[in-house]
Amino acid sequence: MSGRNVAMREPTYFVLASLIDGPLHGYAIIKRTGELSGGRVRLATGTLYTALDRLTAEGYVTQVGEEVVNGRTRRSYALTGTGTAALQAEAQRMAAAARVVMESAVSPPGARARRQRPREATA
Amino acid sequence: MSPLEHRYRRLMRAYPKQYRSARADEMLGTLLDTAAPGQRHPTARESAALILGGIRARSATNANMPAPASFRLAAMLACSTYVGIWTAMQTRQLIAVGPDAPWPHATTTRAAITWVALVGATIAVWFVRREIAVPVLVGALTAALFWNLAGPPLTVCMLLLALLTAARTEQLPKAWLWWSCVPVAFIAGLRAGDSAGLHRVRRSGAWRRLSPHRQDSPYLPRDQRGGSAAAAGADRTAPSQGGDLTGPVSRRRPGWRR
Repeated sequence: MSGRNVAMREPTYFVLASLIDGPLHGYAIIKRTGELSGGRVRLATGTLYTALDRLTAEGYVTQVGEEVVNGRTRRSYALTGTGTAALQAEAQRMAAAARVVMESAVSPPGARARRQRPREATA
Repeated sequence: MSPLEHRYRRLMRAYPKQYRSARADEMLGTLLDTAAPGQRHPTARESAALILGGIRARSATNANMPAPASFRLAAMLACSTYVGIWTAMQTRQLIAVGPDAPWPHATTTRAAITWVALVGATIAVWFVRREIAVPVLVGALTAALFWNLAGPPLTVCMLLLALLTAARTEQLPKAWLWWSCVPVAFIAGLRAGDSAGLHRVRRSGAWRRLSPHRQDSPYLPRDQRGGSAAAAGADRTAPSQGGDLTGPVSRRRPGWRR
């Protein structure tokens, strides 16, 4: 299941992105995800751990450390090589998708019309 | 333990025990870290996420079970749903018959005996008591056939239970999921009853005329089939389940008695 062809969901993308700079624990992932997405992705704790379970099972994320804080276990998670590759592939896919719109937006409307006219003539 | 922590712990019961023993502490730490200062109650969003997460964790546990165990769980879900729907039907009938109907009367008693046997067999299968499950199941089926209470759903339910009993080689997975079908099906059955217009039966007082226990009722001939026909004719919206176990897809329309 690791070689996914479908687009990543936004929370998954930002959870993986939050781990680019190094391992983080649950609370730090929630905070970092919020920052990176400009506050758009607000992960609930239950959602985060469901996502972490799934990403761990898919081999994108791994548990790297464990410490006890205030008598409770706190585990840290890190991106794996597969996770990094998947994140980069998704970023490239989104960049390519963005280019389609951005390039059309910067070219003058007349140029688009000229591009379309020969097709209409042949139709 | 703070009230918030206590409430979070309660919500986390949605997760399977095995999962909780591995993750509960860590999750609880994160939950308390994300809580606002002075917060006493979990937010609706957080509660929903925990319950959904729990259901997902349970389905993941169930997804890893071998195929025969999955089949058994599916069969138990089907049986539980049927029991829930049937209980709702019986409740509706008792409500429609009204307070002047003494209970237990014959049909209800027979149906109740068969139902208790069915539930007993289900529980016996669940707890791997084949020596109890087989005779109880045979007894329930005999009673259903003898009293002419059997219908397609009951037969399918019984056959599933028989298969489960016969095929049993290992303990069923300890999941509460199939129990959850009973209240859900019960509510669905009641809703179905509402849309069938039973409330109209009560409001119009038709249940008084339909009650087989009113000796002065002009619609109650000695012949019980006649009574059924009168009941069916008195109000088209009368419930068709009677005291049988045939459930919502009954082929017969027995009225209150046979």
